[in-house]
Amino acid sequence: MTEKEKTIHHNFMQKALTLAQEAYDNHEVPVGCIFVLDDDDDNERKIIGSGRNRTNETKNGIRHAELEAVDEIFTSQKYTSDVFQKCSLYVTVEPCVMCAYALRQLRIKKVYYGCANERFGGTGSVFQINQDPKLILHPPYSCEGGYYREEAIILLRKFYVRENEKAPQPKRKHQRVLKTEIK
Amino acid sequence: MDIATLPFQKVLSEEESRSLETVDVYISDVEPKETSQVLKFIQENCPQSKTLCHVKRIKKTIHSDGKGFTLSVLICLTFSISINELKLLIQKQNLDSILNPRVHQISKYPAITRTQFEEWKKLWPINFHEDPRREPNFTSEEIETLKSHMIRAINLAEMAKSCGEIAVGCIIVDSKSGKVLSESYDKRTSSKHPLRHATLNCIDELSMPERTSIPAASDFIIPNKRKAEDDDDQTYLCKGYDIFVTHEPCIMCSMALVHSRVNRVFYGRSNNLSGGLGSCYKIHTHEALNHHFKTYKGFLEDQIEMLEIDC
Ligand SMILES: [Zn+2]
Ligand SMILES: [Zn+2]
Repeated sequence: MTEKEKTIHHNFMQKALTLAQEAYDNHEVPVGCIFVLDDDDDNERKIIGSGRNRTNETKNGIRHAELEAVDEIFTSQKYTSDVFQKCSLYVTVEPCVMCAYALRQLRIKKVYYGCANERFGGTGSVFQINQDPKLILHPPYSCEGGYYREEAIILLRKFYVRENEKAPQPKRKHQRVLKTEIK
Repeated sequence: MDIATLPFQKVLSEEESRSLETVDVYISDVEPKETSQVLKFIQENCPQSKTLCHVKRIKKTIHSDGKGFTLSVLICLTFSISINELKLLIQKQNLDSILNPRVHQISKYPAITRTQFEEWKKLWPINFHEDPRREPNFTSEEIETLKSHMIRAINLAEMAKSCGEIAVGCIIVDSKSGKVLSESYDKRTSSKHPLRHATLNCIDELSMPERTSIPAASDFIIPNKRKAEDDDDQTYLCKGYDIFVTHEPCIMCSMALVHSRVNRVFYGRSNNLSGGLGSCYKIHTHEALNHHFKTYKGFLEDQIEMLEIDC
């Protein structure tokens, strides 16, 4: 990618990737995200919260990057829940079904993600929670993938290869090696 | 205890609850003495499909006077061959005097429940093997225990209501020992946090008991250390645990239960606007997701309805 092709979304996704890397360094599934307030009144876009996966640290399978960031924003007590209507989320991996409906309840403005989440994805891969017209309690939101997709995938693959090497011998999946080519 | 008298109903999967869908096939009446010849012809000449494993090859229709019967044989799916091609094949084998194909409809899918089986076999006989694990038995003693758990969840919903919260209560119980491990209620109002649903709170409090802010019951157990056998992934927080919640969990909470590998879910009132375990989605049985669990609805529904009325 040339410098010219990079957009403001790539800049924000770069920051989400840094958090994903931090998760990886801490033996967590490498997913990171940031919430960006883009108020129409002032052109300044501001990061109001960030998070990364903490499911291992908390021993709680629901502590995904998105929920961590949302809780950080509420804990700061600087914002009320209305703030999400003016926020975009940048997350390295497509939100899962749980997070996809959490974001809908928060009335998020827009979601940008890196790579798809084939197993749990809630904004296209398994379900399309963000757009489902029968969910009338909260407005739909749009979702756009592909920002630093390859980087997000490589990080996930590195994680799974490393976990496999750590696993006791009989549990190991044979010959799990890091694939670098991306379709 | 008989299924009909259970105080809750199983929330069926898409496959278990679907109604009859049909597919067109060619069939023909045959003389009993010619069946083996006909079956040989079908096996050797007609395109066969694996999607028809659930139906029987031959149908026997007893005549209305009780004397005699007609045998019909299923040849193949209509979309695999045209009627003219089929008739040519029959002619080539000199069977046109004994085989006269016509189009007939049969059930497209195998029956999973007895109700489906009884209904769908009327079209054409189908195979049915009832899976005994599908409908587990509950003893009356178990039902009483389950009821006491649900009442505890209702009490939490009442407590929530008296605190000005949305009246939803939830508890997590060890399926084997029956010990209550975590309890919570909806806290969206007081926290001004739109995601503080009862189920999510209950899972979070199970992982971080120090966060618990509601008056804890005396037999509250904090499950700090799990046995090594459970250790393949410690983040599977609800493995071997049941959830009792007054209202059907929303899509977010339902998926949180998948991530936590819950064992069973019992709920009272359905949630038509955002329910993830039967109403809007059937997350507990969705084929694409890697963990499935049994879900029962309608448990002490009337009591919960009362709770809502005088809100
Ligand atoms: Zn998630
Ligand atoms: Zn919920």
